[in-house]
Amino acid sequence: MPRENSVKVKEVITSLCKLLSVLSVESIPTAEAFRRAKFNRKDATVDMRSLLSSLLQKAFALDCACWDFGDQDYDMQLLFVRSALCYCGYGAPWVVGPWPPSHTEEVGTRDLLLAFGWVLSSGNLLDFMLSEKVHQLDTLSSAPLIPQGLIPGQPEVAAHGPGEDASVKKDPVLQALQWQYGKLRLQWKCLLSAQEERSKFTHRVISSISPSAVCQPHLTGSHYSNMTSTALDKELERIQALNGILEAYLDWNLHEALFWCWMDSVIDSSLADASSVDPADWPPREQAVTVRCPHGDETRRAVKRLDEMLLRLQTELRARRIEQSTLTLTSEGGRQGASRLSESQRMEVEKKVSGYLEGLRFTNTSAVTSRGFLPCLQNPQPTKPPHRLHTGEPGLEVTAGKLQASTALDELRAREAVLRGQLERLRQNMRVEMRRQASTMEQMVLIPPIKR
Amino acid sequence: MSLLQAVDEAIKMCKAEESRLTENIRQCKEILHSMRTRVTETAAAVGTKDDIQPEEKQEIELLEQVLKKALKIRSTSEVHKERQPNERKNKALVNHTGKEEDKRKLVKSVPLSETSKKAIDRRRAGGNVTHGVPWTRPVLVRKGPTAHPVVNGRPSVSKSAQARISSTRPQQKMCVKATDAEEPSEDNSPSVSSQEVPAYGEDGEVTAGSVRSEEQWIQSPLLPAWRAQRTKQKRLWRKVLTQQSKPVPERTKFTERLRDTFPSELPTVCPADITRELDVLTQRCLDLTHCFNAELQAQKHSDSGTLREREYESFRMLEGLERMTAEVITCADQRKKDWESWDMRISGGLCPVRRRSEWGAPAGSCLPPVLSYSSGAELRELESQRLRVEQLQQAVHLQQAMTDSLASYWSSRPGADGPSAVVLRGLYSLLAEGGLQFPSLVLDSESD
Repeated sequence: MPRENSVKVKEVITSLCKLLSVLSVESIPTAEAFRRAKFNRKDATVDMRSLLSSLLQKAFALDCACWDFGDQDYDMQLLFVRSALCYCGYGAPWVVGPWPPSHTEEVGTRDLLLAFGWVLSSGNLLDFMLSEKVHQLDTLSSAPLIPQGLIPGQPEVAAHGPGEDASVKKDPVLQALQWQYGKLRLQWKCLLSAQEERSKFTHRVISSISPSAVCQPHLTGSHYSNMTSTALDKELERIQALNGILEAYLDWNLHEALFWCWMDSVIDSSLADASSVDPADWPPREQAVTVRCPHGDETRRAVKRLDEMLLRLQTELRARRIEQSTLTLTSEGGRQGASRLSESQRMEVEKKVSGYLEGLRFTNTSAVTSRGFLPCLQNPQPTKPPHRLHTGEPGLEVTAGKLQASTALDELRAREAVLRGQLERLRQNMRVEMRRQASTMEQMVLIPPIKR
Repeated sequence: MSLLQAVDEAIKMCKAEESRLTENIRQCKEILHSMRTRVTETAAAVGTKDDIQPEEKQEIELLEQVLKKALKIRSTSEVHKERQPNERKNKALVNHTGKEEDKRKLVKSVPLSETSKKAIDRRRAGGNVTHGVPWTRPVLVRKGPTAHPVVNGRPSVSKSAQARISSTRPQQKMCVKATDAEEPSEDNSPSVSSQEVPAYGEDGEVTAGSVRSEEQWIQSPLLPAWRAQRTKQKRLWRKVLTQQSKPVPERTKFTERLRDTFPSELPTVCPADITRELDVLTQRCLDLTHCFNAELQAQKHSDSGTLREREYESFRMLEGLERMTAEVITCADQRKKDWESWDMRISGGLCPVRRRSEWGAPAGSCLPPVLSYSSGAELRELESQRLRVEQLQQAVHLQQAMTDSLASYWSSRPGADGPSAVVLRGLYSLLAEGGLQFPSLVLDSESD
């Protein structure tokens, strides 16, 4: 390799290492270690192994309690690494293959390097780590509330059909549930008011970024005057650190292409070596793999559950449809009953139905603000032409990285309406059911609460 | 995970979020407070009143005023300077030379010098020569105006403050970083300033009742630096956002080549994506099931619209539901196939792992966008709306979960009595009113 090329590669790898270290990945090796790993030298194994493991720890979380990240158990670490790699789609023989290594020494350095490259290239891992850092260091950023996605384990709760969870039948459990639910409602109220206050303060800090802001004297300053500008100092430090990270990221972006070319050459050298060793010659190891995880069946169960639910739903729907069509056939007028509806009535009904079904689909997608955002006070532009707000789809605006508060508000309001409708419908359903239950009870009359 | 545990988790999450918000509020408050520093001026320090000639006193007052003005102009103009360095510089220069003229007129003997320290020291020297006062006191006196921002300073802050004041000189380069100190020419100045600070503090308190002490609010010296860093951050972030949409062909090439080296044919979708999609599909299935059940109920008991409208509505609704179910089933089948082909190839015994966040989504990006808002009220509304949507989402999920698990109270015991009155009341409030209100159950017995 020509001299300048190798120097450039070293530069590129150094910039990658710098970026990873400011993103708080531990155990970053030197650029030299990468080069040694390319040639499958044994002395770089420990470095590459720790790098890969710490990167994966930032990207994945273990669902079972098999291994604590602080443990020095290298075999368990290997299991974690293999699980995580497999999970993000890496199908190399040492990860997935028929005879996986159970000891860390058996994995070659070059394999580790290739796995590292795979993880880096899959999805937007670096972007995710960057956004974590942004939300951590920038006081004014608005972070996403729930780690995006459903409440973990939610489908499992619903899937416990009647009779499986016998303890629910007892009253104390119901009371406990009522209590907890009330607590939850209270928490949400506190959270909403805290959020309001925070928005107020965030806006004030943001508006003092612009130099035209006049700093008004504060009333309650007496005991703060002796406070050195440590708060502003700390904030300044944080922002400076963040700017450092952003600069490292942009620097990496410039050099990225070269890195991937170099990784290509690593694949080349690995293929060259592999061709001399026939994988079929590997002696079959003893099938007793020392480390296994007993909890690995989750997804299989989830698949089965989903299958059952869907099948049940489908059969019920079909049955209902058949029932309905026989009903309409046998009742007077039959099919003509539907056709007696006027066109406008039909349109109205159809609109209502499609609106509702669309809402169902809508709520399953993530909101436009689900990744959080960085608020920025816009200078009032009186000459802004109104059509600019409506050009393009909202999705495009977001992918360009810019979001208008008014668009986001509109979408959120639409979502709120849909969700409220859904909730109301579910509750109404319950009301009817309960009333029916109450009517079967002798001598009891259920008086529903007054609608406020 | 049982229902109670799910609610517990939700409460914990709320609490964590609330503490995060409170912490954030505290930070913002501190930042806002520390943007201004209170300054106590004393025109005269302890015991030096007699030593100051009246005309020098006057000079000092005028000098203080002028320096204050200069600082104000400087701090506003240098941020302008940032933005339009070429245009505004001359203006600022003109401004400052104007101020300089005034100062020169006042103080007469002071030549224009690099650091204001020198100038002040010369004045100090001048004062020394005439009055023979001890070293520290004139420092206190003369440095009165320059010491404004130093009152709460560590030496580095005071240095920067001096550097800030000295940058009122047009020839000075603006110092952006608070820690960059333009070294004052005197060696003993750091010790002087550090000595001066506690002494000043005490003096400030001692002379609080004496002669003339005014409290003023001026901007913290760090403020322009912070503003500069913030604008820089905004610029860098926008750059990052534009970069993210650019594809990197070398990377895709590498991924493809690496995938080709895998020994067996594996589906392109990775297990992480499969699991995520399964979760989404499960949720959709749940939604559809609940919608279906609600529809069955509504059909029997709804009182809106005519009979025929209702029939038609339920007909269309069921049709729609069936269609959506079919879609979900196709997706689920595909995912199942993918999962099975992965499952076959994995030698088993792997731990279940979970992505720490949704960073795998190939289509969407996970970088937070820049949200432009126009007023504080809009921001407030947006953020509370966002929270409300989250809350509603959670409420819907919990409602579905509760309906499913508490349904055992009446459905699985057809022969039994059914739930007792108390239980029914509790169930009604939880499931039908969200726990807000309770129904009344009245014993209705015909008395003979």
